[in-house]
Amino acid sequence: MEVEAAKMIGAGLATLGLGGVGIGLGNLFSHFVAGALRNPSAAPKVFPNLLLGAALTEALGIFSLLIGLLVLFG
Amino acid sequence: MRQYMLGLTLAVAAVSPALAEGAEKKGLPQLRFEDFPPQIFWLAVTFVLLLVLLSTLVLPKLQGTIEGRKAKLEGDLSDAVRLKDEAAAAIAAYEKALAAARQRANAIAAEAKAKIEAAAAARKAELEAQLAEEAKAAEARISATKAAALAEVRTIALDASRAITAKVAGIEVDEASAAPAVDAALARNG
Amino acid sequence: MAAGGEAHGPLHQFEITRLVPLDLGGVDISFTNSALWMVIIVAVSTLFFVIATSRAAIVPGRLQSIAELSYEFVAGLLRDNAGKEGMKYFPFVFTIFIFVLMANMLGMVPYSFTVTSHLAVTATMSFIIIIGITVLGIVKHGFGFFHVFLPSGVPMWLAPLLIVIEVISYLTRPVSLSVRLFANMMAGHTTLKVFASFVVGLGVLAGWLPLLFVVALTGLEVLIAFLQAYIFTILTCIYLNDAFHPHH
Repeated sequence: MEVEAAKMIGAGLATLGLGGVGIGLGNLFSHFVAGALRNPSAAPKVFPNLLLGAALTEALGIFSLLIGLLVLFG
Repeated sequence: MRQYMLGLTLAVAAVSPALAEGAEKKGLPQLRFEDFPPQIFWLAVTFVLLLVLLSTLVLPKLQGTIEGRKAKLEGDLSDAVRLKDEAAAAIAAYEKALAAARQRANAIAAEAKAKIEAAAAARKAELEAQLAEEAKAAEARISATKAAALAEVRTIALDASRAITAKVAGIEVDEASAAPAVDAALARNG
Repeated sequence: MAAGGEAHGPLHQFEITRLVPLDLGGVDISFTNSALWMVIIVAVSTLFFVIATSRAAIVPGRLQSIAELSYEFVAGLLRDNAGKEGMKYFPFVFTIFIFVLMANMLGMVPYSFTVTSHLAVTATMSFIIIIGITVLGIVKHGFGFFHVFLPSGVPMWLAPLLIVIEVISYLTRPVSLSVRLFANMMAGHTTLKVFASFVVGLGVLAGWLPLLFVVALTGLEVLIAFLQAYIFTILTCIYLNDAFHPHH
């Protein structure tokens, strides 16, 4: 059962990568809000870019999540 | 946030035997490769079916509706623009006519004024000439009268000087000898 | 969950069950629950659009408005990201958007099966998209398509490093495209299921709290379902742009 325990620890460690995604998404949205408050008329124009950035950032986090899932269930 | 939650929940699921035993087979269902071929096959079938259905039944109609509306809107808009241009042209023509009329009125007024001024100036010049002529004639008359009067004065002075001389000195002086003295006296006084 | 009284794990909803076993030359093409939901997706979306466009009025009704809105939405995405040449592939991109959106949305119906929560489906779609775009780019530009890997105005000594990085990032495109969609769908549904099992586990007294949470999460999941369809479509458009304009 030691391998099982190591797997769970490994899966937990793999999810740490999501912290970086949290920082990244926070940065993204905080800058969007700050920019939107400075120039509200330009906000709708960059909103698709915001979603795109969020998706690209999130994808990286999901990779680490996937590693965790693979370790746990693979 | 969702990823954190998933990590947590998966850990819970893996730890708690009651939940984990629910899965009939081991591992993620998504990574069971014997399930891939039927999914890929049916994905291809249904996707192509949807593509064909949408692009034959739906998209041409939608596109036609949207483009028809756009064309109608554009037609209406261009009509509106044309009408607006026409109105602007009418206003411009009206203003041009107004300006022309005003200009003509100004021209007529200026012409009348010039004519009147010219007439006045001509009349004035005529009057002045006439007055100058009259003044000249009057001057001539005056100088003639004056010369006559001066001549008269000399005769009177000659006669008087002869009479006075005859009365006072008892000397009869003839006209020719008295004349130089009288002329000298006249020149001295006159 | 708990159909027929028995308890299932949070991953049970992703199980593939063969409804009609079929075989084609040794390849398993069984009609599974996944295939059933794919057919339902096609039926529902076709039915919706056919009904919505049946009365093509100049002033649209509600259904027609939705249909036209989705048309304009995808057309705008494609035009903004891939330019005028991209409009030739509009039916394909529109079908991708409708398929993914319908799969995500129908997956939110209780007891349904989320087609896009399976790697097989998303990976097939994204690999076909990326391979198709690569082939299209090479057909259109020949060797010039490989300018994708070397942005113009880069100093030559940097080129070897940059080409390696660009090639890797190009190769991860299908992976990230498919894994993003599948992992988002799976994560959302698993989370919902786990919280729903807390409702049952905590009973009448404390079960209300996770129930409220499940309700809020369901709203979030509907948003995610739309957002992921949007992301999948916009990334397809952006990658399609590379096939038309490799010199970026």
